[in-house]
Amino acid sequence: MTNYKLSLENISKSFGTLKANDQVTLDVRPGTVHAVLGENGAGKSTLMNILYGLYRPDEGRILVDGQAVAIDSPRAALAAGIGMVHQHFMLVGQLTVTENIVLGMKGQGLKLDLATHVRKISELSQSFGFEIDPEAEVMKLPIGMQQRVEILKLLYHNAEVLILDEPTSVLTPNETGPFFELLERLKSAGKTIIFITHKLDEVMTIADDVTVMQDGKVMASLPKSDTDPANLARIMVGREVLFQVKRSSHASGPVVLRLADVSASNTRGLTALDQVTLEVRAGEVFGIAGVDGNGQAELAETIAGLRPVDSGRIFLSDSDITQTSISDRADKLGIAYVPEDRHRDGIVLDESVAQNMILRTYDRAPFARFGFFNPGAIRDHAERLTSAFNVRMQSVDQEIRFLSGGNQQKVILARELEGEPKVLIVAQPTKGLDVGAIEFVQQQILVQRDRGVAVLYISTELEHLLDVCDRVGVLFSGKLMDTVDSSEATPERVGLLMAGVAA
Amino acid sequence: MIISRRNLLIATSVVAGAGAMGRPVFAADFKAAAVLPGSITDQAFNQVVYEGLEAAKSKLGIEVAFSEKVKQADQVSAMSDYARRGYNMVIGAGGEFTAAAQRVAKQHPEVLVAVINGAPTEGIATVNYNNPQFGYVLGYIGGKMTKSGKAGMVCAQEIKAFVDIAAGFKKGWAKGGGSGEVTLTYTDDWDDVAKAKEATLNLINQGADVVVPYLDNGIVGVVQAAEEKGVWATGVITDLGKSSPKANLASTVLDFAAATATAIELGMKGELAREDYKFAMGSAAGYMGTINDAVPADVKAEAMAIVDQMTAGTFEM
Amino acid sequence: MERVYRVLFHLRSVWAIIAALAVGSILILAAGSNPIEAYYTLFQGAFFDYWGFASTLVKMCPLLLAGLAVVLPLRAGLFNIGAEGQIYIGALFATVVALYLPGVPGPLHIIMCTLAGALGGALWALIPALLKAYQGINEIIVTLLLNFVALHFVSFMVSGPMMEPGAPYPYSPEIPDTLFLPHVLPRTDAHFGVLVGVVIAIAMYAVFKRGVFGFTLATVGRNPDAARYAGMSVRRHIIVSFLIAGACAGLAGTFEVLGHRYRLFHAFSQGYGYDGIVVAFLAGLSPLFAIFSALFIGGLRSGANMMQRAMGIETTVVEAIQGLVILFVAVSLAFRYKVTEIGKAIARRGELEQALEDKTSDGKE
Repeated sequence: MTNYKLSLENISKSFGTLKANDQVTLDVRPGTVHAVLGENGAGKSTLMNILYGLYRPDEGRILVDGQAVAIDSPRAALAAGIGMVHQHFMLVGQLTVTENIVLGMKGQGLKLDLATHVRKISELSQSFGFEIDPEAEVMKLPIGMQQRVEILKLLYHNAEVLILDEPTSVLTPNETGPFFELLERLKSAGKTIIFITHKLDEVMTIADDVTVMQDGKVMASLPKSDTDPANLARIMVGREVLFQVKRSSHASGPVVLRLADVSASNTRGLTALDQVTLEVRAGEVFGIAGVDGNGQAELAETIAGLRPVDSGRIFLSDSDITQTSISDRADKLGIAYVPEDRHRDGIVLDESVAQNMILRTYDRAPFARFGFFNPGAIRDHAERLTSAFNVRMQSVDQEIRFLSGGNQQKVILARELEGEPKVLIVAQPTKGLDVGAIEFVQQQILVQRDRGVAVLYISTELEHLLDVCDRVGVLFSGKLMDTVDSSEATPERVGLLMAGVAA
Repeated sequence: MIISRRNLLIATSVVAGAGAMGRPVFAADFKAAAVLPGSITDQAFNQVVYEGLEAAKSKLGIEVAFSEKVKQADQVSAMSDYARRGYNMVIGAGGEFTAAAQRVAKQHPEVLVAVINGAPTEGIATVNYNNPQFGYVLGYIGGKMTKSGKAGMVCAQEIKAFVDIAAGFKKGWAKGGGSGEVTLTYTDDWDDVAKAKEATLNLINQGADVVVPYLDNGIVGVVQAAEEKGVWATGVITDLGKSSPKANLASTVLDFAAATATAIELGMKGELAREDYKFAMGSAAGYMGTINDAVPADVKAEAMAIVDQMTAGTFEM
Repeated sequence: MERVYRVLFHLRSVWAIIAALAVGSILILAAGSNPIEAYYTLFQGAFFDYWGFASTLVKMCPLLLAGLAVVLPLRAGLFNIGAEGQIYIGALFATVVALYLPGVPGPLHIIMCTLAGALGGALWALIPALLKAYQGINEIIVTLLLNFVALHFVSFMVSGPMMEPGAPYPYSPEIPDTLFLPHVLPRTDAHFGVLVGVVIAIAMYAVFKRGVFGFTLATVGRNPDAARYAGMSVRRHIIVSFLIAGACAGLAGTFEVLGHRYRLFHAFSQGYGYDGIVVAFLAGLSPLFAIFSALFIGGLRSGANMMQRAMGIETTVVEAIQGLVILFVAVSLAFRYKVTEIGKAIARRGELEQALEDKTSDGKE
């Protein structure tokens, strides 16, 4: 007989060939904050969705207070005392706080006694210091307060275990402090909190215990007191080096790409890049390391020209390109860009391989004349590039959605490298690829470096960076923490920087 | 609905000396078509014209066809379709067909184009009533019976036939002793009962105690309003004495069926010229209907005397 | 077996039409006529009779152009429910040029009227396009509501400033007969406009198939993020696609005036713009197939008149059958919509909205 509030035993879950959870075992002590730490795609969300009854595990079981429970729906999870706050809130904006909370409650009878609910919710809110007006319209509340409504809803439904999925991702830095205080109060009231995150500093601030996940497996599970940020960083990103890329030593040339105090906002309008200054030389691979979501995507988009800068300037060989459009940067200036999210940015899934090959040069001769395409030229071009890059497919007329991820990436690389660029930005190019494809991508990056291209290589996979980069800069909270020479860049040193600890 | 030769005598050609119409044709070859703005089951104008068409068919043994619910914007295409398909006579049912009929007649000079209740127009035959006479008789009785001195008239569109009726009505109204104004209002819809009722209630609120509908289905709304508010209604086209005896003050009957059938018969014989024909009050196609018993006998007698003068052609307004 | 199923699936519009006609035959039976004879009359009259076919073509012209006005923006995932209003404003512009610019030689005057009509429709479509591109306002609602504005504006014009003096109904004076469009079938109403519609449809097909604009428009629709990455402006494509769509619908209105009615009437369109949506979807959003679906819907309309005339079936029954066809076709298109062009178009719309919300820069601007 254990005294755990909640235990997961050997939970496994596969989606097709992907093992999202592999023999996951997790024990949560009552009245604690238990952090589940891992990068995007490590299997945290899958695990929590199993716990919340949205997915059924392939094997394994769930125990609450030592008793095995069957959780096959969110309702069953709530009956077992488990509640979850998703990243996207499940609230109806037009309804009031109280109406949202009692929505879907059973045993209401025919007449809804809202006044009683309002009173009870008001009491509950005050007892935890939520500062919520039960009769406010949800739509008019700020995001931080809406999050509290979600938590209040779970408390009102008598949840004992609260699963919070990346709760701070929607909060501004100023809201995070009070939010953690709220969690402390919940904890002292005996509630158990599972806190999903990929931010090391948050773990160190709020958690009692930490479980680190990677590739669907539990890498470590330990009390916070037994660890430190550097250790966690190493566990989180540390992985055996699978292969060795041969890297010839050579001297780099003059500065090609320069960012001076560049700041930019993310899609939600919050600062994502904070006064970043960096230089990339010709014939150099400059790596950007960091835990996902610390401004990498915004950095790449800002340089490529997809995202406007809030302040600062970008130079290409001493000419200011801050205001140059993306097509001019690609076309006239030779800035090639391999975006992080292939399917969203890099290719059009519904179109053929050949069309995707000319996605950024479609309006140029010989592909197009007088507003009409020349299919022969487009075909020949695609045939030539696909064979040079050894893209596996049935034909260049095939829709690109039917190609494997590695082959899709080869199409993007072939396209971007074709114009002999001066600058190459590659963001997470190895994500989701198998070993062979990863090696190919890395080799191509080095080929470009040797050609004298200034390469900016963004990755969350540290060992991949260390394999090919000459220098590595670390982004944390939109700031460039430090730049280290790759010969001195040990996982420990970079890991600390990734956790926001300056050397 | 008897179609008699007598109509021929009463239908008087207004435009004198127009050239004789095309050659007479045999009944078996003659084809006539009618284009109707509303439904042939509207129990009003459209239905009546349709019945006239059918009467002509059975009496003369000719081939007939019709299109119902033809919108204003489709009138030309519907009429020219018949013209092209070899119909000898194409009839537009209602004064709103006048412009379309003129265009079709211009494009198809070989076809006789007629408009029932249309204003006199060059190049087409128009079959009409001596409308001011009908209005006059009703106005006269109304003027005798009114207390407020005000009357209201409801129509869908400002067509010539209605304007003429209204002119006659106003004269009769003043002659009978109606001191106040006769207000005209248009609903833009021949069949919309609710619109007609609303318009009528408005008129009644403004003081009218005699209302005159000149509508198709919309008549129902006018009569409803009159019954609710306890004012008089007069029928112009159909005899309200049969459908709403309480509200009916007096009605004239414009028998468009007889008018249509007569026109087709004349057309078949080659005797219908491209000019205006008017049926007088007291003919087989247009006559006095029911007068309410509440109307004093002397008023009734005066009215009938006027009708007799009109029939005889001796009435001067 | 799989292949047989797919063929059957792609023909689902045809099955829907057959099913609708089958249900319609019950109505015809109830009205006391023989359905087989009635349908024979309908199709014989609409397609195999000289005058009837001409009348089919007359109805096909606005249907086709309105259909194209729906097809084009849907390529980028945008719904143009406003073809009806664009038809009215196009017709108004054309009529104004026709009536108030006397003294211009006939052929040149026809061209000027045509351009004015296209311009009118395009300007009317520009309103929802700008609101969508810069404010993210739902184009479905805006285009729909603008239809009523256009309808009533034209009604105002033809019952007031432009009304034929003494007319019994709100309509403008007749345009000079030098402006009447030539006829494609002698002695009928079938006018030149239908050829223009077919040429535009074929051109649009070619642009979709081979044109750079067709490719960028589809890319904006399929993946707006990738479009911005490729330097295509999402906003500009929204605006241009609506301008062209509005011009097509404006031409539909123009040809109604110049080719068929010879004057501007109050409420003359009677839903051609909405029927254009049916034409577009029946054609599976292909401009080429739109020629055939417009011909079919036009034939249904003109043949229905014939059926009514010949069989004495009440128009209400005929209207009910037309409604059934549209309903059944709409339902058939909902089947497995995810894999069809239409399903993709609907998905595109969601993505486009998302992309517009992003505060990032918008490609070439």
